[in-house]
Amino acid sequence: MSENSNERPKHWLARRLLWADNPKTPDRIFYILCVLCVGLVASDVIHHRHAYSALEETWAFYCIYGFVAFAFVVQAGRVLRLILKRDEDYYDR
Amino acid sequence: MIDSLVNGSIPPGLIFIIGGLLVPLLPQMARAPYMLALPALGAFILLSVPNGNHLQFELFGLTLTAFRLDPLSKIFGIIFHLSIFLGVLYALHVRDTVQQVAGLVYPGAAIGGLFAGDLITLFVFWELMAISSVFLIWASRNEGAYRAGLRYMIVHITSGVILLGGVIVHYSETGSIAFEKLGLVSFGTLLIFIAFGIKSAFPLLHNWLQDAYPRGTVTSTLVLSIFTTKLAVYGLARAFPGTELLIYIGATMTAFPVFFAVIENDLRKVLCYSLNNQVGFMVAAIGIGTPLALNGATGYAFANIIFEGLLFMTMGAVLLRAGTTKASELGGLYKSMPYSTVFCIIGAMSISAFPLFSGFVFKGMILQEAAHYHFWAWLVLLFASAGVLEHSGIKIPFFGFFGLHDSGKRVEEAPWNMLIAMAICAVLSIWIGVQPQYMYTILPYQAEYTAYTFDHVITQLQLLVFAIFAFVVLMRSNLYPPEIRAINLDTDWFYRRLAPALVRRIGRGIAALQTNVMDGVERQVQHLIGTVYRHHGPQGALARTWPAGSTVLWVAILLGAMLIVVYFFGP
Repeated sequence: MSENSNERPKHWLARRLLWADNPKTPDRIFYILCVLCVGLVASDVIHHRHAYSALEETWAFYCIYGFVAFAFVVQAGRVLRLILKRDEDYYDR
Repeated sequence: MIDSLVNGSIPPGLIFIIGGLLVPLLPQMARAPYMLALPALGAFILLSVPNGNHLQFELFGLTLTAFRLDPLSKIFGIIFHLSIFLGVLYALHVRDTVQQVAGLVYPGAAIGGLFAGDLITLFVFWELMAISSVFLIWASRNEGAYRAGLRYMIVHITSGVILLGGVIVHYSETGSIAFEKLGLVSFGTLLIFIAFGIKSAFPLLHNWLQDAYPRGTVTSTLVLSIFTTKLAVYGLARAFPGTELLIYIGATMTAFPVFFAVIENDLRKVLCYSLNNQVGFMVAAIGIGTPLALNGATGYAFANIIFEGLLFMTMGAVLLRAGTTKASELGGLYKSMPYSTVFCIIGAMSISAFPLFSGFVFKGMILQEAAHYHFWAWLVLLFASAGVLEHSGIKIPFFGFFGLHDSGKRVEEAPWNMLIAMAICAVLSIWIGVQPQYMYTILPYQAEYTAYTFDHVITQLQLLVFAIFAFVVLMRSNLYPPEIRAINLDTDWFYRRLAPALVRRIGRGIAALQTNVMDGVERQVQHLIGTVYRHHGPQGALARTWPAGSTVLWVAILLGAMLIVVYFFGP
């Protein structure tokens, strides 16, 4: 195992994935997602979906729920960590 | 010989149990083809034997059925056999005889339980599974694995004892040991339900999974992740379909592990929480109990074994090459393990249920039935779907292979056999996702479902893309919790810390009480001895040598007293 992180990968597939290291990539992903999100919200305007409940029928329900659920899980995790985090050797002491 | 194979007189489970026990007799060179041939033989039997009850025999007046084949057991049988093949292929480079034997006997026991037509046969294989699987944990050969294996075995043997108790009570109540739809109708069936619940890792009974599985070896954790929980899912689908309690239990199972997975640093443990969450979807669907929901549970179990197995395989490859699966120590591995990276992304997209991947075509069934019949369960399952994306869709590939920083680790790609096993899983995950109609034909119940409708695709994309958007926003705002070297307490704290501390405290209390009692007794005895010694010892009043004059005086007084008494009170 070598520790040189700057060398260009030899593997063709790895070179294909190098975009992940590009400093502009996070911004690009963000803007692509913005466009996708706008498109998906817009789809609720042009298409009325078959729903089993009034909540499901709400405009952009899945969009809002997906965002909020993800953010809630992560932020709740931060709180949970404050309570449950212990040193790695906790059970070995 | 061929006749006995195809007429159901050889149970497929025994092929792996006996076949596994024979492995040590073979030279290493011959073991690989031999072990790969066993699942092929088992699959041949499975696909050749007609549906029905085979291998029935009498024992102590009870009719046992060792090989019951019907659409439900068949679909699980197919995926179990495929899993054994993939597991053997993935571990082909391993020369450890213990893992080779246990890696066949344990799945063989699971298959034995799967095809059991009665509860006694199920119990026998249930316990064999517990005993054989622990060797896959101990195969790591370190103190932590040894202790975790013991805890694991205690839990699973207990599950077996509860199952046996349930079977006995159920038999005494009904006179039946048939492994069929039981329902939660009596104390006996409740015990059987709890036994299944332990194995499928119900909430609060779950922590054996996260405690033991990550301690397995690079290859054994994969095998462990497949069979125990899925046999329990099969058991619930067989015996308790439509049991409403399962909806609440399943919904809870899907939701609570996602919080633990967010903050867990060990990515193999993250996958164990993910496994817990995934089984929750199946359990909830079994609780809903409609034919479509049961098809969803069965098909999702099938697909999950492949894509969750794929994720375990990729993390096994990381552990083998980088020596760790701790997210805090990884980053940049995609540069040296690009194939594993791509396979991991495919597994992640499948488990997240992106359209065109296998998770989507079955999870949709479960969500649709939940939305139709149980609003609150649907909301929770939808919430958990966003949670799955967080821990298995993003965290595993991102922190496993990319990371926030390049760790500088430059390693070899996974061995060829591991890559082929991963490739097969990846191809199957996509194939099932793209062509679900072939899988739909082998689902056990009659129900219509179209996966690719505009509504299904758009709503799923809305949920997932907005969840990814939340991830990016949190990352850009530095609100995503960093991966840090730490562990998090779970319910194992109760039996690893609290219970020993209580036992120690009670022990100290008993010791103190014993000391106090003994001190008190000793003091009393010493006091008694002292008193006796004072009166009868060499210096004691009663031991003193009295002068003859005073003795005569005392005798005269006594005689006088006697004379007076006799004079007044005598006859």
